[in-house]
Amino acid sequence: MSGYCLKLSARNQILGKVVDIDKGQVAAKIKIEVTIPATVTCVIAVEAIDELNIKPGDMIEAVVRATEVMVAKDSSL
Amino acid sequence: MSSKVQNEKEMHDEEIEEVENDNDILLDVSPKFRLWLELEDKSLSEEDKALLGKGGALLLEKIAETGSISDAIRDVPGKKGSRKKTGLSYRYAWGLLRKISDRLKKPIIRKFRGGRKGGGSELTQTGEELLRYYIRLENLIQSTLADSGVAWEAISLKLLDTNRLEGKVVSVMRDPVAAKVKIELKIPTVIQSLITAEAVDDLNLKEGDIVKAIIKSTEIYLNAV
Repeated sequence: MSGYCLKLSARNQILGKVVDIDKGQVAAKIKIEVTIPATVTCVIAVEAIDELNIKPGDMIEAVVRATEVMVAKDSSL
Repeated sequence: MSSKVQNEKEMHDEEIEEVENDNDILLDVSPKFRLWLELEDKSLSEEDKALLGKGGALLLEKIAETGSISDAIRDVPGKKGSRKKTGLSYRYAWGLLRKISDRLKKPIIRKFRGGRKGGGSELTQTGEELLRYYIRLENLIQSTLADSGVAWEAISLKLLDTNRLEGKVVSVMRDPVAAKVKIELKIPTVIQSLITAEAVDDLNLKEGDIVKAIIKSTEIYLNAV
């Protein structure tokens, strides 16, 4: 896979720095610190917009499970 | 002695038989719940904390719908134990609304002039927020009970590491099925990722590495702050 350039469909590719790695036998928890401005795109059921009354300017919480966060590293680095 | 042992064995066999039949009953059983909102105030008694139950919520809903307390009270089920099967007395409804406003220390209803009937009553913003909160919670619990899959999903979401990233909504785009929300994240923030130990070795991941956290747009849930 190294040297192969892929374009991903994933809308969110947030730049950050690894600040902690907690590695076990099977899994590892990676903490990524984000200090550069980042925008996330979220696609949800339209009913949720109405129920939560989401409009531009609102403060909101984006919830995402750690298992659904992929880590990408430039292999040349 | 043998007869005593035999009797006990018979009793035991009967018990086992009953347990096996229990599975049939579960098909006809459905869960119900009563929801009410109460004030967060440890100094108050249980009674004084109560804010809004199903009856109160229905009354508020009807007032918002009809624009008048008199019209609203006709459609709300009667108080338990009262002779009326439907409808509340104006006095009872007014007392209930007063109690809620007093406990919240904010008015939930206000009078207005004008409109088709020359005037009436409407919910204040506080009243609307209270009602909306009640309805949202009721819908959430109802759909959780109706769909056991959702309940387990909710529990596992709590148990696994979840990222709760605060941000500001920049834009909302909707179609009949889905909506796309763009959010500017509040920084600095930390995103947690759970990957295989193998992947850490494959990527030769180390502290200090510059990386990208990749998240599909469909894997983000939104929560009110």
